[in-house]
Amino acid sequence: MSHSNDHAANHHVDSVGTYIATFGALTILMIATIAAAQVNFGHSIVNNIIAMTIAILKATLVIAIFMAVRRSSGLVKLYAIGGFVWFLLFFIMFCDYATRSWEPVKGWYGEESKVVPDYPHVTDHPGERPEKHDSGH
Amino acid sequence: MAAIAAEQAHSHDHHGPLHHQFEDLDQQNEAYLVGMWAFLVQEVMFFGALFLTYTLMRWQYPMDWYFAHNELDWKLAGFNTFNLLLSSFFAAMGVRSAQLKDRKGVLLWLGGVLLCCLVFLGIKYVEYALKWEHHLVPGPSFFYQGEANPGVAQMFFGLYFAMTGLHGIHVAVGLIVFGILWLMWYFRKTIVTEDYMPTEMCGLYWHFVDLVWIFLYPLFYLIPHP
Amino acid sequence: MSAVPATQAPAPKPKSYLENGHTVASWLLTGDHKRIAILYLISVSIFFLVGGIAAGMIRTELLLPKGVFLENDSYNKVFTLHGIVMIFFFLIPAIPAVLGNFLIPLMVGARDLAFPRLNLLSWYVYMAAGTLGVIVILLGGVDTGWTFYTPYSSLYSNSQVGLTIAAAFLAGFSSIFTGINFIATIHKMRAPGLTWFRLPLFVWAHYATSVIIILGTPVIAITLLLVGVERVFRIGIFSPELGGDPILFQHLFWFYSHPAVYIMILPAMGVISELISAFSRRPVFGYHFVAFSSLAIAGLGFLVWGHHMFVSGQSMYQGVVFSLISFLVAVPSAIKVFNWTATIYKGTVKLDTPMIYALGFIGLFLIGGLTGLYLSSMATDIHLHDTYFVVAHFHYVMVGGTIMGYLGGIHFWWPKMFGRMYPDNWGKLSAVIVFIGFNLTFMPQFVVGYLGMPRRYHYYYLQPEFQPYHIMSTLGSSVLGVGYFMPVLYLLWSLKYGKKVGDNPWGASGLEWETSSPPPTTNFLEMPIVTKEVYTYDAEKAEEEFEHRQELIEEVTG
Repeated sequence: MSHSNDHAANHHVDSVGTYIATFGALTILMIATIAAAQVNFGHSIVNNIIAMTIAILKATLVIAIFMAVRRSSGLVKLYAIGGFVWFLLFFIMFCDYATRSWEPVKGWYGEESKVVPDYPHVTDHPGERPEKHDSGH
Repeated sequence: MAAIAAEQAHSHDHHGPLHHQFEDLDQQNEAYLVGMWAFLVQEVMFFGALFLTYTLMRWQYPMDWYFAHNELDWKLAGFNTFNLLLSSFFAAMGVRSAQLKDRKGVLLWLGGVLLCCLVFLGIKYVEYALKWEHHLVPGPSFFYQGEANPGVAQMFFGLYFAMTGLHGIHVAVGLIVFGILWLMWYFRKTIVTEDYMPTEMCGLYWHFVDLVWIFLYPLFYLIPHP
Repeated sequence: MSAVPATQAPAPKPKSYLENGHTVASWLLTGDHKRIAILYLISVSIFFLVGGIAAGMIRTELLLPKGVFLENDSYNKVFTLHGIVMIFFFLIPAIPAVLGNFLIPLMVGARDLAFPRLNLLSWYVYMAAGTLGVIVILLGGVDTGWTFYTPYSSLYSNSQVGLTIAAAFLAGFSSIFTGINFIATIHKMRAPGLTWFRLPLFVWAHYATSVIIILGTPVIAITLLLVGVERVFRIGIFSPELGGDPILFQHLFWFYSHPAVYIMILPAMGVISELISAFSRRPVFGYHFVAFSSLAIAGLGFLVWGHHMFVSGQSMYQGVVFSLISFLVAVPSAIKVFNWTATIYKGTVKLDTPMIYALGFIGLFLIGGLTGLYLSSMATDIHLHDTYFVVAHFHYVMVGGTIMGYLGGIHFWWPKMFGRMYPDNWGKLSAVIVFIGFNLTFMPQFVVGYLGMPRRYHYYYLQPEFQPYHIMSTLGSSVLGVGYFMPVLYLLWSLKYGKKVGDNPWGASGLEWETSSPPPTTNFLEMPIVTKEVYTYDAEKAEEEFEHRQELIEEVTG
């Protein structure tokens, strides 16, 4: 099997130091996530953005180094990016929820009405089958 | 030239890591890699739909989700996060050893991955058992007395179990996959020792499992007060 | 024209894949993509029969304004059965898993698909799903419609929703496995010299389909899983009574199920490109455009799902955007139709059975596609939504498109699969009967739907004037049934008594015709080296290229 020997020689092997450094960075980022969650930044959105930014950083490290995408062929890179088509679904769907209550003309929906309901009828007894004609609320 | 050489290689070798449908190991490995990434893309979409559901529900009931999440133990899960990161590091090192054809190294690092798998599942079991005792498993026995709306709390725990459970199933599959891989290395099966790609593919899968948890952890255990 | 370079005296005819083992195990444990394709052919045919029987029951029931023999509940179950079986167990696997499985390795010049065991696993998963489906039927069926809309499916339905969801989930994974296999094979296993733009359009179409499969199918899998979880644990994700959001279900469901329409039609379009070219003796006009239009359909297909939800309460602004993008999908579809027509123009057209199916496809798909524009305009959709107009529209695309393509492909590659030819006159007759029966069945449904007949209803006694249309439709469906049954008979007959034909009875140009019929287990005895462009039908040119190949081979062998 001279083939496989040639082949293994072709492939780039990352140094142990790279992996240890990556692992160290991941651990530090993890501690940063936990630490940031204990702090109140005034608004939860800031916390969420910090948490997600750190998660994306960690994910990038794992994908680029552990999964060796940075050294892979363009095709693998394409597929690695392809996984994020999911954000498209995410974006389009939230466009729906975000624009549902827009009025084409002021007063279109009347004074009080809201398009996105508040779901006031969430049952207090989740184990039970909901009644179809529950007028108690 | 290559085609003919490969044809000869193909005609007399049926026992090594090369499968009959491929010309040479390079082609086989590239095909494996593309196939694996295609699989990972579908996994991303699989979990993606769950993350989307999660986002929508948390967006609609921010307070209830905050209160419900207080029932979860972020310290245990934090340890598990570290545990998974460590296992991912082990897996990467294992793949590196496989590239260098260092069998002892592979056995050592993959053994580490297996150990982390077991620890993860053990901690997960403790977490789930606590939820079960506290009647926080959705269904007829669900009983929640907290500040959140009980219906929404049940939804929260439903998604919690769905997402971490699905992730847990992936970890369990990883345990099986790495167990088999470890045994194959132990018994010097040429399919893994002559070609690092099977080890690399298992590693890719495991890093993906790690990736999912990297997002699950802050989203479920570290919800800020809205 | 011949593929295998004539180096020495002709070798004895190799053992074909059909002769390589005759035991049951040699079929059920095979890794050979050709045998798996045959296994799929048998299984999808059985499910087509099941779905067809359900269709017959629906049509019979609709003969009279007050119904003929079904109760409300059983009618719901029958149309659900028809939808689920036809979509998940016939249309989605039909062309990729049968023709694609058989032909893609042959067309790219490979010995097998990249992952033969995964391929076999996909068949077993499909059969497991099918078995669950049969169990569901035996346990009384399911009544949610194939769309599983919540909250009915998750909270209220008393039928076998859970098992059906499991079946659909498994069927999804079966197609994911096929998709992964195709992607790896098409990317990495093409023969030397076979560049992307020398690939047949069939392969391009299957590549686009595979991308849709791996991006879309997992979403439906997880959505159905959540419906199941909600049904069992009542966690309230999709049911407003429990705080969930039914529109979320519809978003997730259609995110897959609209692209699924392209999973069904794109492979058929690939088949048609092959047929049109082979029977017009011309390369496909605008090859690059047709190739990229497949990818464009795959891409745009993911951006239009909201047109199923115009009246279900999504944001109207988003409705406008979805409507516009839906119109855009018509562009790549039209590119294909125009290019096929341009291919036929001035071609040497031979009206063999597959070509009649292909011409039928073009006509029916045209009507199906254009009526889709009525439905993607928001204003007309409000009138036509959930009427028989929609039913007629998607049957024109699915039946008139996919099944015509599937049957055309089966007739075209039948001599490749089994080395024997069916009686062509019977084939032509069946193609014409299918075409007539189809139009008789579904054309009246456009009218009755426009007049207001809602889909999924089986009583229309308040509008007895609908009855003539339903009678026409039922009549047509029996003609259609005859048309579908005839190929079963003469194709089976041909397996034993059909005339043995050569390797390339149609004189077609693809790589798959350059090996023997039926092909040997390893497809090609020698690695094919491709030096000619795709769809070459020029005799002189072929001769030149043959010489060029000889030179190349001499160069390679030194």
